[in-house]
Amino acid sequence: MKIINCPLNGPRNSSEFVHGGEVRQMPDPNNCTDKEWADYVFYSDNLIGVVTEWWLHAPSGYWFIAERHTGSDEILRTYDPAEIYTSRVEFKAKEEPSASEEKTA
Amino acid sequence: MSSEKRLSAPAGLLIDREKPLSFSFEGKQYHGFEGDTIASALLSNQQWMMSRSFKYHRPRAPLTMAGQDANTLVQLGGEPNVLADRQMASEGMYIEGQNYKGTLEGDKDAYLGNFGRFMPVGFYYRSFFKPMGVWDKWEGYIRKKAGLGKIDLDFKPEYYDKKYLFTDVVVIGSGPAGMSAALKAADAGAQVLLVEEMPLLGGALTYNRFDIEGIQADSLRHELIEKVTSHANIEVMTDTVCNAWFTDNYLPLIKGKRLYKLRAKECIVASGAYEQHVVFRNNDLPGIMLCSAVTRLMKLYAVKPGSKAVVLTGNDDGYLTALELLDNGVEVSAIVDLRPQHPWPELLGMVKQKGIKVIQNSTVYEAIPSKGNKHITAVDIRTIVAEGEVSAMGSTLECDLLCMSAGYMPAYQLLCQAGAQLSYKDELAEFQLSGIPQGIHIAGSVNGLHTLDAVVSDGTNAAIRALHNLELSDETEQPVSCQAKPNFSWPIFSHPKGKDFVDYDEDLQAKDIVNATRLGYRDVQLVKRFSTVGMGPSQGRHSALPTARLVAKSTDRTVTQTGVTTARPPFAPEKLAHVAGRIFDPRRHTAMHHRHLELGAKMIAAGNWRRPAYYGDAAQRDRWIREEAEHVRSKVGLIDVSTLGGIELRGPDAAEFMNRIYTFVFLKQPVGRTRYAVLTNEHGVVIDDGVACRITEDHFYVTATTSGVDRVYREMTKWNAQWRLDVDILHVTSAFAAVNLAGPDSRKVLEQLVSDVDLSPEGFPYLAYREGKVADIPARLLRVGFVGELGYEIHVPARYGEALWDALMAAGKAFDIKPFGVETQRLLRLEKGHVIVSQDTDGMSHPGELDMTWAVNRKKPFFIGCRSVDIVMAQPQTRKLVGFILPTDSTKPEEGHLVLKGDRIAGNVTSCEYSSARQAIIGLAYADIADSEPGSKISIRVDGEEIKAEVVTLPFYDPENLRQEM
Amino acid sequence: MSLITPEQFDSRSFIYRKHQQAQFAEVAGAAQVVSYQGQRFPEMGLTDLSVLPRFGLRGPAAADALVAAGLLPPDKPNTLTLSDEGLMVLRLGYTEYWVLAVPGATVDLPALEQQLSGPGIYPVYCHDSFAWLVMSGDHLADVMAKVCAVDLREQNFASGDLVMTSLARVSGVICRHQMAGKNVFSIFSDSASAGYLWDALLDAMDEFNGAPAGQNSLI
Repeated sequence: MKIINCPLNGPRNSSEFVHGGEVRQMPDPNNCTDKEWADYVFYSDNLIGVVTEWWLHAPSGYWFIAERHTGSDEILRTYDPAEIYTSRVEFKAKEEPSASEEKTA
Repeated sequence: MSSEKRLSAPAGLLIDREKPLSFSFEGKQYHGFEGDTIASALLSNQQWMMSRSFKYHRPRAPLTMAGQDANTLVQLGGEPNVLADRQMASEGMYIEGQNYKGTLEGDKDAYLGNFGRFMPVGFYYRSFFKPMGVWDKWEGYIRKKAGLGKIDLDFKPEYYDKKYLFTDVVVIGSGPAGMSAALKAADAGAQVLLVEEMPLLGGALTYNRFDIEGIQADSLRHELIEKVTSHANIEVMTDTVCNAWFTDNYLPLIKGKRLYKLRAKECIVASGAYEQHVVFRNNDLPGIMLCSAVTRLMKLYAVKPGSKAVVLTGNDDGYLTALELLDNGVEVSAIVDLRPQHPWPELLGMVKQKGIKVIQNSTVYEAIPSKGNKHITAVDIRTIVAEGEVSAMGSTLECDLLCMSAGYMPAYQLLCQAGAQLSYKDELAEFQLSGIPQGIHIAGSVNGLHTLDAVVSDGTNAAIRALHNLELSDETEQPVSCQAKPNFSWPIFSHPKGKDFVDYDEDLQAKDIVNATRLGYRDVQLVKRFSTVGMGPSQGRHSALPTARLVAKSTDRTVTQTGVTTARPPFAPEKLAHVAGRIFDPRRHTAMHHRHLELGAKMIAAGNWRRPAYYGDAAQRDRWIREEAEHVRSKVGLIDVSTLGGIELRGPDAAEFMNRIYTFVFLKQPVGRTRYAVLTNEHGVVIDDGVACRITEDHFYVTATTSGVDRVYREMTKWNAQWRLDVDILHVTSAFAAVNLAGPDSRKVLEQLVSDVDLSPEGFPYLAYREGKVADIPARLLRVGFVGELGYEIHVPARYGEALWDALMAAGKAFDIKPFGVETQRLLRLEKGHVIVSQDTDGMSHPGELDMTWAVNRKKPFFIGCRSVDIVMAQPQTRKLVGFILPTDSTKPEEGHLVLKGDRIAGNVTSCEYSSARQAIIGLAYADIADSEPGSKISIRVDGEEIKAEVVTLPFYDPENLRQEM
Repeated sequence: MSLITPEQFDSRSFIYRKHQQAQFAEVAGAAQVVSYQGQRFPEMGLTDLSVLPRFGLRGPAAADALVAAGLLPPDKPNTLTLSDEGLMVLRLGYTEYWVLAVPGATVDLPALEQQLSGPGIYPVYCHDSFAWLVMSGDHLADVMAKVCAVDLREQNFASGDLVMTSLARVSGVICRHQMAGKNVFSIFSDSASAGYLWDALLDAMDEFNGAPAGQNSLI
């Protein structure tokens, strides 16, 4: 069984962790095109290389980020999400309908 | 007495001559000593045959004396497939042979060997597949002929368990390399675990002869064992098999009835090498053994293996074996050396001086059996004229023992599982391992080293590499070299009459392998699957090397290109009990669990929880559910809803966070009110629902489904790891016990126990939230209730759960209160048309399909999945969840039955039950959008029959919702 | 001899039915097992302290509030402090703290809980969410190795250390500390799974002559 090094709890068996998918940048949900949104929700590059992923240490409920090579399955680095999510996220209201309708047409 | 038959000490390292024992084999009593294996005790009594072979039912006897062949599989009482050369004998054992008809001695199926040419490789696949179904007829017969052992169906489970182990350095194998490595690592301060498969330390030092005088092995063994066993940093585990390598040095070790799961920082594999056999006709006769098997028999068990031996060898080790035989009183007629060249001069000199004939450049072409192939009687010796080819004429030598050694194959399994590669060195005719991954180190004969000095130094070097990684040493490794070349390049002498076995387990001959390649199976993996080579219990320990050579030659490739098949775990056969022993199956019980049991509840699983389905025996399920439902509708009922998920959100951003997570609006939810909360995922699919209570401006208590709460909590914490809102998210499911008190009399019951909350319809209206004391227990009260009657959800700290239940049951006695279960609650909810997420929804259900658009707010800037909801809602809708009814006497559809639209599947039934309130069968189903209006008919296929149901308006019961708002 | 039974009280341990052979005493409005009848302290003991008072808090103001209240919040995540009076402060992760008292300690936890509230402090209901079991004896790490994949031998898990992990497939918190001069493990696990875990731990302890014990063995 693989060992994952949790930034809070240290090295633990992978069975203590839950995978949370790749770290992705959400497009502006109210103003992006349908295609941009579908890309975000449904498509994954699935390349051999280093991916940045969410992992949860289930017993402590702690989410962190891991950089993992999908070829070797080696985890290169793990860190607290605060390293990249540094400030409060706000959502903009919808723009005027005319603009978005054009995009979705 | 049997002791007189045994060789004198120091032979017999493992046996205790003071402790005789006896056991029965095939109905006959045999004597042995404590420390004997079943096989060694039988051989000391001249009982060679231990099994019949898999396909041809040929007599078989031990080949390796180390548990590395299938020849010694016996039935030990109720346990089949016990390795007689590894299983210790004990007093009173009852042992039988396997895979025969009649008796082991006179197997009536032995005739099958004469039909070998009608059973070519791939025989089963090619013969029993046409016409269709024929295999079903043949299978029973073939399984009987080729079955191994009998299962005892009356067996009593024994206690097997598992334990974790931790160490700095694990050393697999306690031969000279392993012990040297362990000592080096331990001296530098590392904690070392030394794992040995056999009952005693020493590996090859316990049986192999390394020098002419035969003293080196013993003196080195004593010296190393003395140091290892007295070292404070070394823990020794004997009789322990390391059965696999898993990522990050996670190793399953099997010892007795326990499976250890070892985590080692560094792993040194000193697993040794398997001596290889020579392929010639009748090379499977009892009396033909590997050289190492013969020396094991003598040194470990003091068993004299025969009276007149021939040694067939491709290396010097055969000569040393011959000396060992002589020392133990076995006459050696000849050494047949496959090689044209001589061994080292001193060794040759000594052998000649002892009067042993040496025949160079020759092989045994055929072993001559006694009647019934019971034992070897002589060998036909021929000169090798070309690779695999022999002279037309030869000479015959009588013998009752043939010892053979064609070289060695590294015990590569663990290393290859770790990612190392095998490559064949043509000049050495040997497979070697390369590409050993980080954290693993290789030492000794598995590393292709064969002289003692080299093996010991290699062990030290492996330890130094491990110590570097542990930062315990910066010492440099010393160069190691080994001149020995023990492998003969082509020890395969195919005979026109066959029975020249490559794989003993599967009765595969040289031509079978070659024929597989001719039939187009060129890849060694395909050859394996077609011919079954290497699939038997010994897993290619002896067949992999000759197979690689044969396949390479017949497909004109190199042996490296051909390779060997993947060695997957387990390394050695392991019992299911080791895997199944002491498995953890957590159960969660609510605080009222024992009250339910006392009331005769039928308990069902809900995830890890156990919940009452209804109260009463399963035989009358429908009756109990109907009665419980009617009771709630007419009087008052009590259900334990503690398993309901609970999450608290606290902080200045709690309302903002709720607003982003759930589809509805929560910013302006009044304090003291509850609100239905639906959660969609990023795909816009409804994944959970619950009730949100606003306790204070910045404090929400929100419920989630029993099975969904873990996921909801994870989603919430993950989103806030990104959003960085000032909110605290706490999972409180286990912190609260909860009940739903429901029915027209529920207010009256509660009034008995509550004094600090105004329970009047005006003071505590529908959908309100209050805090107060129920029977002096601090409680959260919610006026919701999906069952559609006046009702209160009461949540209290879990420690008070049982007392709360008792108080409500006591206070309700005057009102004829009765408990009801989850299945009853489902019916009541169904009557009210309430969707149960995951029961009535699937991976495609968006709010529009569920008629939940009222719970979706698209004016707010964001909720999870908002954009996807927009997109799917803008598409023409194809299906909808509808309510349907059927007359009481109709066939009742079940969950999952299909809803058809013409020939097309439009959806399926998600819930269906008989409703006494509606006097009909009622249900929810996904229907084609065209059929979703009330009054439409939908077709439901029930066990081949098509039933027409009528779509009706929801809810089925109390459409004005008057009862729940009383 | 007064006969105290768990059902006399509203507040009950989830596993009080496991203590059939036990003597109870009233502690903090509930029945606490004090001893098992006719039994000397076992070689390895397992004690149910679930009814003893404890509370948790977290949030941005939690650590400062603890200091202001004169407590010793641990400097490092996943460690604990134990005062001379028997007051324990556990730090789980970065911002969650639990406050407990060892059996027999004379600390007014309810008063402390009152004091430790206010903006930026959020209570954690660890009394109800978690059962509190204490394992004592000489083979703590050996027993736990049968249910838990974390190396809890003293050289890797010293007194004052705490892990959040999975034991017998249930999430829980394990701490090593002293109680009455003994080396013990405090085990906090999901209260709803407490009965299951109690049985699993006793089964694992059987090899080392483990048995249930009352709080008297820890005072």
